[in-house]
Amino acid sequence: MSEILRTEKLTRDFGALRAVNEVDFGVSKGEVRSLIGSNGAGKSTFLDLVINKTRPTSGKVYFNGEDITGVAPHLIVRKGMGRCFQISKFFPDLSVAENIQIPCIHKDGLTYKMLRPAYGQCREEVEHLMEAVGIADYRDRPAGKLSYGDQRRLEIAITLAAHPDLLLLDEPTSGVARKEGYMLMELVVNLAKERGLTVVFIEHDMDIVFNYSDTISVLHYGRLIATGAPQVIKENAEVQEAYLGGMV
Amino acid sequence: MTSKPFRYRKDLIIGIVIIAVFLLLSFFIPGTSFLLARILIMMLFATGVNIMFGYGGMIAFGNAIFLGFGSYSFILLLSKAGIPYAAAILLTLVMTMIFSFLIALLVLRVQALTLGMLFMGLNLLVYNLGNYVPLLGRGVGISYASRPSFALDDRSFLIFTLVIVAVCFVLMYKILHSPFNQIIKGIRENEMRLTFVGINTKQVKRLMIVVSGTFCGISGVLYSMLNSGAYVTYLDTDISIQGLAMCLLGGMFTFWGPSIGAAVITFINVYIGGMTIYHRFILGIILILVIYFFPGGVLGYGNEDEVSARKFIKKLIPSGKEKKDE
Repeated sequence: MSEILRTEKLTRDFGALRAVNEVDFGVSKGEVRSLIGSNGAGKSTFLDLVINKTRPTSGKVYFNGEDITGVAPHLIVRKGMGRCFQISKFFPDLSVAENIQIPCIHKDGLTYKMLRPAYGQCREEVEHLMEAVGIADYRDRPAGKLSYGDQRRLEIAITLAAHPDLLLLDEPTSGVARKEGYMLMELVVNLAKERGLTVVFIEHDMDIVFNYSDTISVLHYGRLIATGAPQVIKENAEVQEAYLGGMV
Repeated sequence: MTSKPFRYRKDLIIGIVIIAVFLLLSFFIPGTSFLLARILIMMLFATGVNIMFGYGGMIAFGNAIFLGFGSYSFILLLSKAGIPYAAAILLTLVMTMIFSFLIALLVLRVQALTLGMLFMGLNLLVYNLGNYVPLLGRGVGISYASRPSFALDDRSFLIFTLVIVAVCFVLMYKILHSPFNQIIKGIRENEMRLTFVGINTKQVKRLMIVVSGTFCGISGVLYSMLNSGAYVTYLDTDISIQGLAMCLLGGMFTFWGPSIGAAVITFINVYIGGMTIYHRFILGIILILVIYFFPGGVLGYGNEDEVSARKFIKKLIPSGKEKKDE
């Protein structure tokens, strides 16, 4: 299967600290890939480099074979990459429906339309996404008043509304109860399958990682030390020593 | 549902009532037409400012430059360039749009409070140009009878102003209920999230400043007609601050709020200002009370707009702790 995302010697220095160290990383279309590593391993920074939220010190990023290194984040998103953050980012004072309507408005080319009413625009898509992530009952509630788990669902819906081909998720289950974490991951994986998405997610819960990943990559002090199927990673001695220890 | 519905019937009735009240006051209380026209112009100015401030979340400390630019351009085109009346109005509109775009290019290099300061710096710069440049009247301004020939007396000028302001309000109402406004509100709420759904936020903000600046510019044209000339006081930072104060006082997250603020503040400036030199004292006290006790403004009092306004003020001037958390 062809690669949707590839990085070549991707590196980021923060002063004397090398947060991401010459990472060569590739993800095939339709794959669910998890990125694991201890705190400070460079996982979030790596995702930031991929979408150019943080500019790489050196190295290249290719998306669908196209070099996107240094391309502005909003242009990368338009090419089909979506990003969810570790701390949910949404529009807190707008209603749930409005939160999802915004990316839909953009996707439909209505961003600069000033003389037509916003009310009712993209209604079907918004309803569909709210139903899909399970927050349709809260459509008129300000997003800031949702529970944390529902805010995570909302962020996933906002990201999906931009119709990405590749979804980058930074700890999608952090801050939610274990059971809800599983439900969220189940939701993401099902939506990904339904829409033919590729998913790269960062996760600390090893049960979730081994249950939902097709492939796992392990970062350690900014270096990519292993990539492989869950069973291969479990048995990898270097990974065992660096990260997993007695966790599995 | 997705975005708030067009409550145009309710707003249409409010608009008609406002027009009726202005006309009735003008006919039954002699000598009020001039004050009423000034209030209308300030209502247009404040609502224009609020596109940037309340909806877009941008502290536009220097919005007087748009009002001043509109009035100076119009008067200069009429008095120095000798351009026909209607053409001067149209050309002023185009020039204000271009000027607003250039200002947008300058101020959008920074964000939040620093953007407000940069705006104010530009305002001071332009104010001083008005004070020293001979073409702009060196601080005295340019007197020129610029009212339309069919609206020379105060009452007919009030009716003319009512028509122009009503058209502008219809346009602003449409803009502030459009998909573009949803994106603008997104900028106020979380600009980074907008970037990560694929929106070029800088471009949206540029357009927002152009739209806001253009309506402020139209209010400047009307203001120069009302006062028969362009004067340096139009460029004063005091006007900019009053523009923001009007939004805060009336309710910056509402369509009619800035108009209420404009009416109150203009009334204090003109009517109470005519009785005592301490009218600013009254204005100051009112603003302090508003900020402390109902930051959502008159129309936002006790509803969700008040909560939003508190958050908005907090976001503009974050405490050290919040900055650290970021």
